[in-house]
Order: sequence, then structure tokens, then C-alpha cells
Amino acid sequence: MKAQDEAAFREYVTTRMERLRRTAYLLCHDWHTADDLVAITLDKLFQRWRRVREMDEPDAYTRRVLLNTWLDERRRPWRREFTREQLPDGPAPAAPAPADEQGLLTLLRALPRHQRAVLVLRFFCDLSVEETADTLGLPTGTVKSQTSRGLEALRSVIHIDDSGVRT
Amino acid sequence: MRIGFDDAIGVAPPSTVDLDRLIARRRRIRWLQRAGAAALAVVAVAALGTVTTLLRGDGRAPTAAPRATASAVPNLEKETLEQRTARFATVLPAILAERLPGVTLIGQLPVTPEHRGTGTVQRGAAEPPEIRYSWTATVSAPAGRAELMVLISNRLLVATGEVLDKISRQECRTVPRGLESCEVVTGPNGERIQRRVSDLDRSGPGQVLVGGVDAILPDRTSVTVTCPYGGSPGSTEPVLSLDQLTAVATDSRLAW
Repeated sequence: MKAQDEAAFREYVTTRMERLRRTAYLLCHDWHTADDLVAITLDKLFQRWRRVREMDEPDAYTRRVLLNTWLDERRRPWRREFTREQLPDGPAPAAPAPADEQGLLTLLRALPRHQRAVLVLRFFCDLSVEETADTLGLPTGTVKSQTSRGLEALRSVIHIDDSGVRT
Repeated sequence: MRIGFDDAIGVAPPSTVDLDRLIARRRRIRWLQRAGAAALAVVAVAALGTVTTLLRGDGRAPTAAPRATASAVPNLEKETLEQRTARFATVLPAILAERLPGVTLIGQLPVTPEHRGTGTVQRGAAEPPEIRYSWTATVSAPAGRAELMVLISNRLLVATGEVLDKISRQECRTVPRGLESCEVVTGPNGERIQRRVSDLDRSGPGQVLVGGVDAILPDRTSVTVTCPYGGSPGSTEPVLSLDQLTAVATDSRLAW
């Protein structure tokens, strides 16, 4: 890769790193795993950077890679959750959020993974139904129904309307 | 106001994603792939040359190869191929230990097609056959780690004609493109030695420098010893110097 390509890659990643990490965190609810997902995503992105750079929507591609990486990782046996008596060392804890915000994350975590992904893409990444459907490879009808069910579940914690706007 | 995921996440802990490390790792993988491809290309060209030599031989005597003494006249029958390759496999680690103080042999990498002990053998189809014994090892030196490759061949003992004439002179212009430096010298025992540094990736953004020594021993055994620089793209520090490579290539124990 030429130096200018590498510089462009660094610039692209630096400006989006925080957003990618937070998206990954919403999907997996663990900062270690989120950083792993982002690192794997960036590695894949770096390998195809010349092509990605020329795309009209490189962010859409990056999101798709992140989503697929998360779904792939979830299928791996070592990612399956199990209980243990003592918690392993974790990263430095994030600043505590208010109780209802914690409840929001807990509820989000309890949703089926595609429903969770739909909500994250629609209401955190601000994608339209069509863009979400394209990213996840789902029909728009499925995205609409998943959005509706997901919002219904979240309404037990916060008040939101059908467009995801908090009231 | 949207659902409020950002508020729910709160302040993120410091990132553990190391972008520099990620890029360096990918760059290293790419460099190794390029170096491997270049090495394969060199082997392919050498193999093609061998076939050409065997097919086009016209019986002309070599003009510049070291003159073989009576005691050094090659006897292709003195050892079987198995015995010879077993001998090389044994003496090569010993030569490294004796001739390269401070250099540690970490491991050996036998490669296909025909694994014999710690090296591989390629045998030409013609009679008498040209045989190449190649031996690869990972070495660690104060300047870093690298793959050392030793190629021992009887090509000057079986080749004839123009090709033999050409390879016997060891001229610098006969080596592949990307030559950074090259010299041909005569060793203390009459060895004809070409010492060179090549850039295997001249078309790429960085250098992939490889030091190489071709030696023709007094008995006309052909020995090639190569070692890449630094272990990373763009490195200008050799892991093994040309003097060290020469010391290995001219060891009399490598005589056919």
C-alpha cells in the first residue's frame, strides 16, 4: 500500500474510531469484545482499502463489515456466554449511566441479535429502513417489523414514539 | 431526541485498538508474501535455466570456472544422493555454529517437493542429473531474525556448453534485476565468489533487500547463500553480512 493510501486510511479510521467502538459496544455490550470487533473490522478494511476508498459510501461498507464480524464472532464456540464464580479482569469501567439508561442497555442486550442490530443501525447510526435492510441483507418489511418489536420492548423503560424519538 | 443510546453508553473507556500495530502486522504479512513470491520466481528461473542447460549442452569446456585439481576431480558416485544430503544436513548447522559466532539457529524449514532430512532435493531428468539441495533455516543474530537459505548444486559438474561458460564467470550482469551492489572476487582457495545485494521489490514502495553470495568451490560445487535484510520492509540493516554469508558459502565441507 502506498504511503498516501495508508495516510488516508489512518485519517478515515481516526475520525470514525469512537463511533465504531460505540456501535460495536451496543451490539456486544462488552468493551473488550467491542475493541476486538473494531480491530478485526479495521484489519479487513485495511486489506481492501484501495477499493473501499473509491466507494461512494465507504461508511456503509465499514458498518456492514462490523455487523458481519459481530454475527460471525457470535457463532464461534468461544464467544458463547457461560457463567463463572469470579469475574475476569475487565477494562476500566465506563462512567456509570443513570438507572433508566442502564435499563435501556439491559433491554437492548436481551433482544434477539437481528432485532438489536436493526435498532442500533436505525437509531444509533441513523440509517433509513432501506439502508438498514441493505446493510443487514434483510427485506425492508423485516426491518420494519423488527424495528416495531424492538421499540415495543424498549418502551417498558423509556418513552419513545414510532420514529424512535424520545418523548 | 433519539432513543439516547449515547447517554446510555456513557463515557467510553480508553480504546485498546492499536492502529499502528494493526498496520505494521498487515504490512509485514504483505512483505512476506512478496518476498516469498519473489523467491519462488527466482527458483523458477533457476529451474528453467537448469532445463535449458541440460537440453542445450554442446560439450564446450568452461573457461572461467576454478580449475579442478586432481584430488578435487568430482566423483559423482562416491556417495549416494541420500548419503550426500544427509551429510549436508549435518554439516550445515555445524558450519553456522563455527563460522558465525553470535548467530543462533532457531529452526529449519523443510520445504517441498521432496523432503530429505532438513532440506529438499530437486533432481533433473537428464543424465548425469543436475541435483540441487536446498536448506532453509531461521537464524537469530544481533541485528534480528531472518530466513537463511543455502543452495548446493552440482550444476557446474554436469552442465556443458554456453550456459556452463556463462555461469562459471559469475558475472554480475547475469543476476536478476534489482541489483543494488555486486562484486566478483576470488577466494583464498581459488573459489570464485559473487557477492551481491538485491532489491526483490524494486517496483514496490519500499525496499526488500536480500544479501546473496554465489560461490564456486575448488571442486566446482556451486553454493548459493542468501539472507534477507532486517525482517521488515525497508530495512537497510543486514541480519547477516556478506562476509558471514561468504564464510558459509565457501566452507569446504559443502563440496559435492
